[in-house]
Amino acid sequence: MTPGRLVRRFDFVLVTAVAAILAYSYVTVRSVTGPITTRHHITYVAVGAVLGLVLVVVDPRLYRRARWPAFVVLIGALIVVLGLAAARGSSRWIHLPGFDLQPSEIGKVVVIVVVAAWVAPRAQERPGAWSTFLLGLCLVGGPAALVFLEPDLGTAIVYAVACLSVLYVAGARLLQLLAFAGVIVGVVVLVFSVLPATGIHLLKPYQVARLTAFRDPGSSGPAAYQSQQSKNAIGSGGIAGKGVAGALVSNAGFLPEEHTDFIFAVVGEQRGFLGAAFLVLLFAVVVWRAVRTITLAASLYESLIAAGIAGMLVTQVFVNVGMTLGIMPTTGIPLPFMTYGGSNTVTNLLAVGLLLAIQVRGAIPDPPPFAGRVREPSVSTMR
Amino acid sequence: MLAGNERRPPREPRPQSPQLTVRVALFGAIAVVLFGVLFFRLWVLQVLSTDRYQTEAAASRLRTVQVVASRGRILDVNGKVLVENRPGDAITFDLAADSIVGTRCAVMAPRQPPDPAPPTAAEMKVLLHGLKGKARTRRREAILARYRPRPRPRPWRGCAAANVAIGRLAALSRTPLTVFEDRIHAATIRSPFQPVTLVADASRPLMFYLKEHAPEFLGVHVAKRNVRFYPYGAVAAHLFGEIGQFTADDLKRPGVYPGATSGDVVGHSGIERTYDRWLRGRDGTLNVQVNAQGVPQGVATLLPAPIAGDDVRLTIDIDLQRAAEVAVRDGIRMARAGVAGLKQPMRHAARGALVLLDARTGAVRAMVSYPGFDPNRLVGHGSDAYVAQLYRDAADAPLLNRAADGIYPPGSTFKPVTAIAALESGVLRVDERIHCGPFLVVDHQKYKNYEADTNTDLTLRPALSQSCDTYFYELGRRLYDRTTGNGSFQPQPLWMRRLGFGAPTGLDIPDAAGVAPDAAYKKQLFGHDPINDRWTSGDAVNASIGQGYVQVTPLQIATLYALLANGGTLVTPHLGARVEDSTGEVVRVLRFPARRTVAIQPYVLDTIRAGLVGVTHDATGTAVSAFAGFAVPVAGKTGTAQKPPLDDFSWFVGYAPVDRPQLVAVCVIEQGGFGGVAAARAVREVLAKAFAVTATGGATGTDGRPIAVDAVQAANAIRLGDWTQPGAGG
Repeated sequence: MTPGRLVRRFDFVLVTAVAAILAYSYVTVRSVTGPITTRHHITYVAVGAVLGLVLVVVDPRLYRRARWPAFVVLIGALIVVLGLAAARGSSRWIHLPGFDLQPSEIGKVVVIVVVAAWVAPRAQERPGAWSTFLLGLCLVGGPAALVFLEPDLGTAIVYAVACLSVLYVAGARLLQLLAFAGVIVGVVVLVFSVLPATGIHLLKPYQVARLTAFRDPGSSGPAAYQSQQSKNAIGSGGIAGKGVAGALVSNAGFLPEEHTDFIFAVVGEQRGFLGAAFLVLLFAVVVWRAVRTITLAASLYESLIAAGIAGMLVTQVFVNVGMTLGIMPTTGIPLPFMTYGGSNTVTNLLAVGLLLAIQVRGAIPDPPPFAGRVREPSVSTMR
Repeated sequence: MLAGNERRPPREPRPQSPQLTVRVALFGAIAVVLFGVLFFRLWVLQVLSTDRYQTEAAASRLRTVQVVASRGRILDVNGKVLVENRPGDAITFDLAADSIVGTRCAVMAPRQPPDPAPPTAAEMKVLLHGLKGKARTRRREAILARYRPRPRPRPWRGCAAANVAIGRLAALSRTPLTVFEDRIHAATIRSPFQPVTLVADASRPLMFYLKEHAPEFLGVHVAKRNVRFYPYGAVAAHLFGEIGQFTADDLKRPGVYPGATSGDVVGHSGIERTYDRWLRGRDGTLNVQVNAQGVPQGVATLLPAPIAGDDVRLTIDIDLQRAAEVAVRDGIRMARAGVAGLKQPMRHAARGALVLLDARTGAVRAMVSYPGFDPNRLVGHGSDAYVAQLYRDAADAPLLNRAADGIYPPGSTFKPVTAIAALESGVLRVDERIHCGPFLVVDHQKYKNYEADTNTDLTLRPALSQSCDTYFYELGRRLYDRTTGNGSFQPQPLWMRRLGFGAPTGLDIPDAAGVAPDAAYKKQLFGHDPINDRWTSGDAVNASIGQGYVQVTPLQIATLYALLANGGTLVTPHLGARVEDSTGEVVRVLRFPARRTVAIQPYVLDTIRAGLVGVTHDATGTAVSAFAGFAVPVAGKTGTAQKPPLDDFSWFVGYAPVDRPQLVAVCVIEQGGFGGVAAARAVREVLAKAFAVTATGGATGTDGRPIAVDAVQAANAIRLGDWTQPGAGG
């Protein structure tokens, strides 16, 4: 890889969009928190950006070798978190000197790479095989289950959707996806109505309350309260927004988790429809570039990584923004690049680095006439 | 930099392009739809309905805080304060400090069908049919066990376990954590974002500890709350009752608490409950702009302002009440000491009751139930342990108001009822002499006289004075003979009910109905038992002297003698006198019209009164020694009620002054033996206080006028009335 090629194929649109979102994030976090938190935030972004840029120059294919050790380390870290949680009460973090690591966040990228690496050769040999589909799901099932037990239902859902995106792009058949959807519906019915009726409660009562509160906006209770306050904040923002000083709901502290899970509501109140819609547009651009990367990738393996990342980003954005808008249940899913938090910011910037790395090694847009090397031929089935 | 690395794994061939393209296109389409949904929703919220949300955002910043109205006081008849408020230190927890606790404790319990009602007494008879002794007891317990209230599911249990501050507070205040969790749960249901009161009235050491360790108790605050305070301690404690949170159960009883809403403090028993609508006052609302932590921002408006509750003035005279409590204790001490007049020391005498009633109006001047309790300990810290201790003491039952809610066999104090029934039914003439022997045989059954060595003929007046049992057995037999075969006319039960037995008296705090037994009662009691389910001559004979199935409250006996004293009016006993606001202005005078006037011929009343005067004045009267030399002429009746296997219950009831009766006093001392000693002594003591009897023999009526000596002569005039013939030994 030549530096020239790296620059020529560098996705400035993606980087610009991400940078714009980060700028939004900086302004918003600073407006609702103090200077110390803001400084932490900048540090996280800087670390994430550097690590992401480092990823650009590493060939993604290298990670295939490290996939199993990485997977084992991830599982181990998640088990450690669970063990600590059992000892100390609910927690998602491992406290390390200098910072708190949230393994389930970093795990998003690890899981995507591992599943992509595992699925790619099998999808190549037998496209649409049931065994690939089912074993792929099982592969992500382990870490997802551990994350669910933390308890962090939101992140477990992100794992599942990212894995499903990988399997879909790898050629999963419609029947397989429908079967999976059927199983999910079955599990939801089981967990929410059948098992409670027989006295088994898999979900914590507060999780059930959160997950069902959005269906019944008139109900009282903390979950409905959060959702109502969030809608009040966004709705009262109007078209042009109330500015930082005028954002009463945010400033009076009615919004829970206003610099993390509900940061979009703060943007909605401060910047109004114009600002919030523009932010959603920036996310759409990021997702667009991620989806585009699927088609640009040089190999199926890299395509699948891109697909997983795209799925991960879409899920996070839709569930988080949807939650603040009152159309999705209240789950603790962060908004990528916006939410304050080290592990999450670094993870998403690493994902962007991966996308860039895949793009610069991509197959298609290698503009002539300076191409130093011949494009690898795509192999037809007639080979 | 890795471009030329040979160790790089080979790339797989590209997949089939068209298929991938379709899939990616579909993927993108889904993403477009999802983003479209977000845009649309944003548009709806921020452009279409922004007005609505701007209003709601402003509203949620406006916090309305309930400003609790101070509860009215309870005063005695002279305006002395019996119940008032004192500031207490409440410990609250702010759920904003730990949203996890708030969320978890807000979980609702699944709905549960109500518990099935246990079988009634009659149904139980059928279920136990054919069983005897231990087997019967076992079967009964097995059946009742099935109807024991099921424990309510509490899915919020453990919801506060993760919070260190609450856990430590539970340990420090010696309260089970589950109690705190229940309180948090109840509070989250009421209003999710107001502080929860965990401890209503904290002890001083706990307060100091919390202040010193404030940083370790995140979300724990101390707030001043009004707590009930009883300046006279245990005096009259049974009457006031308790206050507590307005509960879901209270909601089901409309009319008891008009205007009360969730979160209000209402009276749950006693005076506090009966007069709750006046005592409660109306809470105010403080409207204040707050941030999410509840910290006020800007100006607060108090709209509406709280209205303090009105005071309730009782008919109780606290000095008389205190004297009455001392009198009951003295009576018990006398019984235990075994003074002259008692066959042996009554070692089991420990409990008793006394009522002092205005004979004309039914106003209660004193109402004592002994043993009692300290209401101040019921509201303060450590109340849970105190309540448990009170309930553990099942034999003494200190929380029971024996004077109005305790049921007893009345013994000989019931004899005037039999006399009235016999005279009014025409089975007895006042001048008729009936043999008073050591026993009477009715239907082959021998009924013994309490006094075994009498053998004389008596008219009614001396029969009452000497309390001859066999005389009244004969009346019971005659009344039984008048009972019609189908039970449509039963003179004896009819007169019991007319004179107020078998039904609550209408007192303004709960009182028991007692039992005025008749054929229907026995039918109900014995169900389908064909031998025992009818009214027998034995029942009539036993009832004639206030034994058998007859059960009364001391208050019912007091109203009976008030009726005898006032000439036939069955008064409604009451504790409430009037309602006044905090400045003393009368808001409402509480009126208690008499239940009814019972038509009794004057000669009947006069004969009975003469008999009652004889009790305390004749040489053979049963209470003559107890009232010897008493400055106020008293007419009364002793009672020595049997309740095997317990020792006899000591009764005395009397009214005074004899010629224009003002007060009725009744005392019962459980297992106190002969009525002419312990109970009579207690009544004399309380009447001496009530009439301000001095050492020189002077006495003052309740109207403030001195009781003249000629009142005694007037009493004698009644006693020696010319339409009666003095009985033997009169």
